[in-house]
Amino acid sequence: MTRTVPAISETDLLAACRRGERDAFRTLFETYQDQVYSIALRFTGDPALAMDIAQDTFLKLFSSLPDFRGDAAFSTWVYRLVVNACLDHRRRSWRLAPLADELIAVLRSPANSLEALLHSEMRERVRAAVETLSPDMRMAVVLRYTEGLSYEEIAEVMDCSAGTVASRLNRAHKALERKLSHV
Amino acid sequence: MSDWMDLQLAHSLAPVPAPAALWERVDAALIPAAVARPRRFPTLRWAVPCAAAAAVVLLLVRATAIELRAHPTYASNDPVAVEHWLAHEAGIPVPLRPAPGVRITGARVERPGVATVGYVVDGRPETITISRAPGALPARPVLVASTSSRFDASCKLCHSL
Repeated sequence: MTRTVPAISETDLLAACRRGERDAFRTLFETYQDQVYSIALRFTGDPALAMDIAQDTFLKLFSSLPDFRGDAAFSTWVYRLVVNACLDHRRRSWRLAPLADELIAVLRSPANSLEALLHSEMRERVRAAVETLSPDMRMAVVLRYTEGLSYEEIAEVMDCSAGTVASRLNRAHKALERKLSHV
Repeated sequence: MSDWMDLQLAHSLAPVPAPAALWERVDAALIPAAVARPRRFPTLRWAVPCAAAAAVVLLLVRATAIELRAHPTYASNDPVAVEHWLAHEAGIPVPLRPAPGVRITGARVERPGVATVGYVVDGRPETITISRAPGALPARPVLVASTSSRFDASCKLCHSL
């Protein structure tokens, strides 16, 4: 899960961030923005909520950089921050019914077609089914399929065993197959 | 676990680029307090607690010094040495003498003309408080109070019984 940052090592980048250098923050942000936002969006299914979570995650990341001791990879630490932010947001608020933003976008796009519409609808159904999973199962699914993490990496991020991850993913698959069997 | 499900999940949950507005929001919220700035003077955060602790220690030391100055104390098992010290510090002529079963431990001036003599009898620490008799010629100490029920031991400090 270790990512390399072009032109400057991660160690140097973190040191620059600790010195309060704005450009270093920007570089760090650009390195992890897609991962953080993707996890938040795929977990919540709500772009507005995902923006809130991503913003909170980066603010937390920047403010708690001095606490990062390097015991784990920095990317693992970032993943933990966004996972915790997702779970905290879920506890603090319950969201309204998810908006079919992507479906609306496809309908509005000039290149829309029946095939694209069907694919989009399928994705929406899958996402809607994922959103019905318990938070732990849903997060395991998101880390697996959005970020492509291994069982061991998911276990490290979620602070559980790889066996637990395998169990959650297995149960998630069974639940999703039941929900999508009619498709 | 079906390949179809794997494929659907991979497509449906594919990563997406973060909106450009995200940096604007983060940047706007990066108030100085939230940013981990280097501490120019890392010891400054300890300055206030250290100063408070130093002030407390200073007050305790000063109080102890005042206590010692206000109540000069002398530790000795030698009755003669304690007698001389009391005569010099408190102006009380106490004819202390060695007594069997009684061990003097020292003395303390409580206030001008009043002192406490410490001693051990039957293994228990006791005190007697003595005072210079006002107007007496020559000044003779009198026993004011004793913490011991063994009055004979108190008496033996100065008198042969």
